[in-house]
Amino acid sequence: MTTDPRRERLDELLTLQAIEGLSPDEVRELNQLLELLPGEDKESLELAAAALHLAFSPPPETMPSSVAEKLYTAAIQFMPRPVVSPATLTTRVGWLSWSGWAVAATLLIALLYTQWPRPAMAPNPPSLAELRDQLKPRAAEFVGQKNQVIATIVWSDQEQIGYMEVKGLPPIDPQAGTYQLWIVDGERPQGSPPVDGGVFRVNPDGTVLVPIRPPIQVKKAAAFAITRETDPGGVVVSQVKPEDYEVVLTKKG
Amino acid sequence: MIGTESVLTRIAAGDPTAVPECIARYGALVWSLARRFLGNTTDAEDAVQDVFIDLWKNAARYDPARASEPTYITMIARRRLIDRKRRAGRTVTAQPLPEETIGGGGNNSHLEIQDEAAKAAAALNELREEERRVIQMAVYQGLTHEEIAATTGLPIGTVKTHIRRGLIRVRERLSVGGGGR
Repeated sequence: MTTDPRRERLDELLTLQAIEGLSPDEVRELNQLLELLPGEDKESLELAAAALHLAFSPPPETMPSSVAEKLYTAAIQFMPRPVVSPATLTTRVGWLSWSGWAVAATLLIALLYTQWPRPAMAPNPPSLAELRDQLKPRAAEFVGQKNQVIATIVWSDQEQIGYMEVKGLPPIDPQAGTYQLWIVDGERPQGSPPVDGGVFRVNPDGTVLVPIRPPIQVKKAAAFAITRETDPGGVVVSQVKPEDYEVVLTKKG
Repeated sequence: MIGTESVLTRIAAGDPTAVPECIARYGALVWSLARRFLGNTTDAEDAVQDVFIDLWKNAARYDPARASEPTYITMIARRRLIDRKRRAGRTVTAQPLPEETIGGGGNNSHLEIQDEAAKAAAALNELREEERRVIQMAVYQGLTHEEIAATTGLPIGTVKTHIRRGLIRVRERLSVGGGGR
């Protein structure tokens, strides 16, 4: 154990920082001590607390599709807008295929400086339907129908991205449960549970269009299924029997 | 394609495809952290966005030699969530623990997360039961020193010592085992 009172106080502050956070006075004191005791890592105990948090945590719960959608929108806004030349002014550029940020940022600044037309600088972020349509040429299509429910999914194993559109799925009370998407990975051993594709809700008219980004890699999507789960946050492994699936989607053509 | 290469490093290098991949890889982790810290879904939604924007803006600060990516992202998320609670002037609400305790993350999908959990759990297993319990209450349940003292009946000084010793032990273990990847 350390005997230097300054070092002990430093560890005390680093511990407090990792667990409860510091007041402005404590931050100042911590910085002063770090100057006096060079070589100490300011984040070392925060990293230790983070590792412990991971040790204590159960498997992460799937992020609801509504939250994921907001996050992807934020990502689009965070990333620089694609910059197009006047000759290709009407061409939409897929946001996943943008060139490096540095180039985009430099060109964007140049365009702003020279006051080029606004549409060339900041086109609206693409809608989910547009993003799906852009993905289609590089993806496989899955379709399914059961009673009045019709579902289509455009999915790319390569990019690990997909979009699901459903019609005819009755809305359910969020407190009573949720719909959940499952992905059958053809590369997994026989009998493996399907991969969680996320939970989602439908609009009052029974339709929904949501992005699919599974938490783990799906090597080769063979089919998709939608279940109705009674846990509002979704489940890790569904107990719903296959005959009770809302709909199963298989590869088109 | 999802791989094992650090997405933060790729974001810092200007790879735009790394941004959505960062969400795909760590969305569930950050969402679960926010839900545990904040309890209510609306706050958690805002917080998740704050955390990711912070990560993207400061991606260049991530050093793979110091810590693995899941641990670093958990650290940033915890920091933002703790700040958020402090600003709101609220104390962390203790939530019931799940059945899983140490090693409860063993079913995590990401091998990286399993690896981090294993190192930290190994360090904790070297501590006494009372120390482990205090650390769990502090780190995972987010209880303050005072709340832990009131719950366990231990003097506050002992609570502080247990937490500090525990974190230092984990720090040593991570540094010996190589926190980075």
